[in-house]
Amino acid sequence: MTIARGSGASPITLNVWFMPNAGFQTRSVLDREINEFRQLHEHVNIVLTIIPWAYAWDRLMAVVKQRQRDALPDVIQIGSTWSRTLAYLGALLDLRRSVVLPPTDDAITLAWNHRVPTGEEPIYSVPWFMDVRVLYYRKDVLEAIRGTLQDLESWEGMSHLCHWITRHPIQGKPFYALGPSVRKEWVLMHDLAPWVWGAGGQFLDATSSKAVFHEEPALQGIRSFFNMIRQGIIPLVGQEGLTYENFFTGQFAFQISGTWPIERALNLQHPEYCAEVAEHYGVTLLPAGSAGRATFLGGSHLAVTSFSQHPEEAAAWVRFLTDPTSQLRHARAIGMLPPRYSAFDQLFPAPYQEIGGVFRRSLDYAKTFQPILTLGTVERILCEQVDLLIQELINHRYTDELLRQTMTRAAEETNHVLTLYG
Amino acid sequence: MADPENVPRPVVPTSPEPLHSWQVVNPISSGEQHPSRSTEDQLRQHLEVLRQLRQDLQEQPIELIRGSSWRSPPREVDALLERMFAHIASLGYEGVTLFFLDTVRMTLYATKQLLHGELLGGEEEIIIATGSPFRKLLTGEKTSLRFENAPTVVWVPLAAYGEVIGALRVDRSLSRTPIRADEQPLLQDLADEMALAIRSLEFAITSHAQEELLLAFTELSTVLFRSLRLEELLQGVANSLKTHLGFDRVRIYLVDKQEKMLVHQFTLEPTRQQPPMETERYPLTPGVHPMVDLLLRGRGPSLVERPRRTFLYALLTTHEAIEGVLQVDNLLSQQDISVGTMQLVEGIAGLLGMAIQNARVFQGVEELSNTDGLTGLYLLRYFKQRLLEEFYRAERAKGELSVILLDIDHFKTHNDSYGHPAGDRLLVQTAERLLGTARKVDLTARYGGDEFVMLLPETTSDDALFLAARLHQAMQDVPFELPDGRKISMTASLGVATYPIHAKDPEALIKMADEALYWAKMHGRNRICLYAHDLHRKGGT
Repeated sequence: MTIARGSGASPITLNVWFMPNAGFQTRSVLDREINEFRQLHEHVNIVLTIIPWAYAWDRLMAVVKQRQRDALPDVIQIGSTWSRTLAYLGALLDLRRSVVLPPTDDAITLAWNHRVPTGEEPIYSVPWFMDVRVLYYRKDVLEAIRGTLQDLESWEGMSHLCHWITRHPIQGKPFYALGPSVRKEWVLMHDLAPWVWGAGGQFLDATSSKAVFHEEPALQGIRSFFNMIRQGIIPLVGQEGLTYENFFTGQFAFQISGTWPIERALNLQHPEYCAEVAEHYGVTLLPAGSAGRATFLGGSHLAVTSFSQHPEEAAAWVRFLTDPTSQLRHARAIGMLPPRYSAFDQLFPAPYQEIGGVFRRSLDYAKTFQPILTLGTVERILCEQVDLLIQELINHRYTDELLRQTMTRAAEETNHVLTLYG
Repeated sequence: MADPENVPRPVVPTSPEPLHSWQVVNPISSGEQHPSRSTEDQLRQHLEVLRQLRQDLQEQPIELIRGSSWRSPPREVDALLERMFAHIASLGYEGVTLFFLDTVRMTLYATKQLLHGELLGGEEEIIIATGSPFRKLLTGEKTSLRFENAPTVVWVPLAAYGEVIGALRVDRSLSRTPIRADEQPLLQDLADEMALAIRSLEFAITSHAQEELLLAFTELSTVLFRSLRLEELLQGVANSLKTHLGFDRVRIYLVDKQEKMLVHQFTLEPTRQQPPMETERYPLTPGVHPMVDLLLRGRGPSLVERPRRTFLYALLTTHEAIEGVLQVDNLLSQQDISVGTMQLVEGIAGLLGMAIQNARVFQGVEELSNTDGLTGLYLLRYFKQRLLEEFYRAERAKGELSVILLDIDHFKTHNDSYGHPAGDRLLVQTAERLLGTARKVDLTARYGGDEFVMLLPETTSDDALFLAARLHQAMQDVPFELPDGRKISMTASLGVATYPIHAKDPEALIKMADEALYWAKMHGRNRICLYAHDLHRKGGT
């Protein structure tokens, strides 16, 4: 679906805001897509602004609420759970007449926030790429400690291996055991999610009107997570909190990650390449908790802003980027996954089919959060309280009772916020 | 396997001293030899480059954009970096990257890079671990940093007013041309200029934010005393708070002293698309709601409570009482409400409390002077005043305004048959039924005698007819009670007219409704007539 334009159509400029999905190479990755798009739409010039995740939301809010005229983007990349809140704030255009929906049996429902639209209700954003958390492991480390994939089937089994790793250098080199996620030191809700869900718990009740993460069994999941920190399995670094290093720099034996950076950290030509990781990494499903296996699915969507002066062209850009060919190409370039089942086979050609199979099977266990309006605030509340607990842990004052009290406090605050917006 | 609890923790680096307590050390006094001075030509070039950079920054100040905050690097910093990078790149450096120091995360963090003439956005982060050479750069132990295996890359610190804010990295990696030691003085001076410019911008943004708060307070104060009508007052203040302070949502609750409840009065949602919320009512009992608890606690050292940085409650107080609670939030946008904004809201809340009290007093006085002693309905004089106001509002908004005139059928006969006390009772019951059927926004008045009039703002003919039908039904279906307890049936005739379809001014609107009522009377009574221009010829509606 290209835009029908006669020859000599007046040139227009689309301002698009994307996150640095490929670091400082993001622009060169997107240049290919821009060039291909422009071959179909010669009159459209695309101006790309890259905004780090750390303050993308703030920048967007400044535009949405203050409507700074010289800063208005036409197309924006947003987190997969941002759509509802942004739509409520009046920031997004309804795309139901503009997008091409994937076949129902090919679309990964969770990537669409639990329901693939039928075209009858508003569509405010379209999934662009996604990640689903799996467990990366070092085959050489596993072999050296005589561990097996069977040991990694449960958190309990994995913990035993991790205890060994934290006490003994492997082939003369010390390793951290488990990295919870990629390079940051905060613990976010989706970091806790595999443990909470694996214990049979939830963060909010079925109607999303009340917090339940302070009650069993969710609390057991959070407890298990903190026990892993206490035991040194998830390492702390001095007074700063969690370590900043990660599996792909070679310091970890295991890491939870949703990406497959085949053209970045696993690519010989890339500055982030680490040979020992690239040669010895393996991928398996996340271990199961006491109530079963669960993993987290996240990702990014594309949206057209309600204040775009060129909605037709903006929608065309979104359609182009979410077209299977472009979507697959881009996902591969940035190490993410396309939100279509059919694309998995193409993303993971031989000899990577086994890895692709793990990611594909992980979808069966994947969950995500209900897109409530105040999800960002709820996440923040939990993050702040968990951070307090980590500080208490560093200062040797952590207790189970403190965990319970802290989570109860977070739940009370969450419930108050939920009553204000529902 | 050993007991997990006794597993020794991994050996990790620790920080011997807080990063932020450093001072920038004069490189000469530190004992490190300053690189040899450049030649006269190089010195001249050095000074010229500095002069151009300073001139650029002074002659074209960065425009401050309303609503920017320093918490996340504002767009003005991007604009500043782009210009500064251009100057540095003009000296032949192929890559220029500015890293900001984050003392919470203990990293150097870059989001903008000039590479081969192209400005790129992205992310690059460098951890400052203990023993890291970057520590020496940032503490001033070293004035520049270069690595033996990378002679084409140099780092210099960014510092202003004795505080380190980051580091500048330049490179000639593409051409593989080493960066000479005698280039360092100019790089350092450029870095110092950049740091000064960034800090100056920070101060300017902060100052600008303060000015905006003052402007907001001034304008809000004006709104507060513009109207004595409660609904207009609340709407005006809520709009102003949202416009000037950018809240996601503004809500106002007032105390109903009689019912001992805190009742929701008004909400301004993020956009107009949200449906109006149902009225919340909270009994003034401890534990029911944090707002009620705040209200019951009464006036403390502050009128404001900020449970999170993104929302707050403010008590609307006067000297004698607490009139209600103002709730403002940024729970959706997650924008922190600054201390300055919180203080402003506190100031406004106090003034709003007084304004509400005044409006309530005015409302009471108005009701006393404007209401009919028998029925409690508004008098015609007041009705006409409000008709004029609503008419102008409809005219401005290009909306519609309807009027219903209702006349009790055979009222004179009823009076003659049952006496005047019965007639009065009939009028009172009629008024009750009208008020019970009318919407909250409608205004019901006694037109005179046995005639009543209803003003329906923002109402189409169709909706007015629908309401008229309900009024007609309310009159017809339920018998009226005489003073002696007997029940009688009464009916009414109604005439309906709408601006701008049927009339172009208030007087004409009443006249058209009256003509419609007359037609209903002449054609059998106990019916409704919607005005039509050819009413006298046709059968009406």
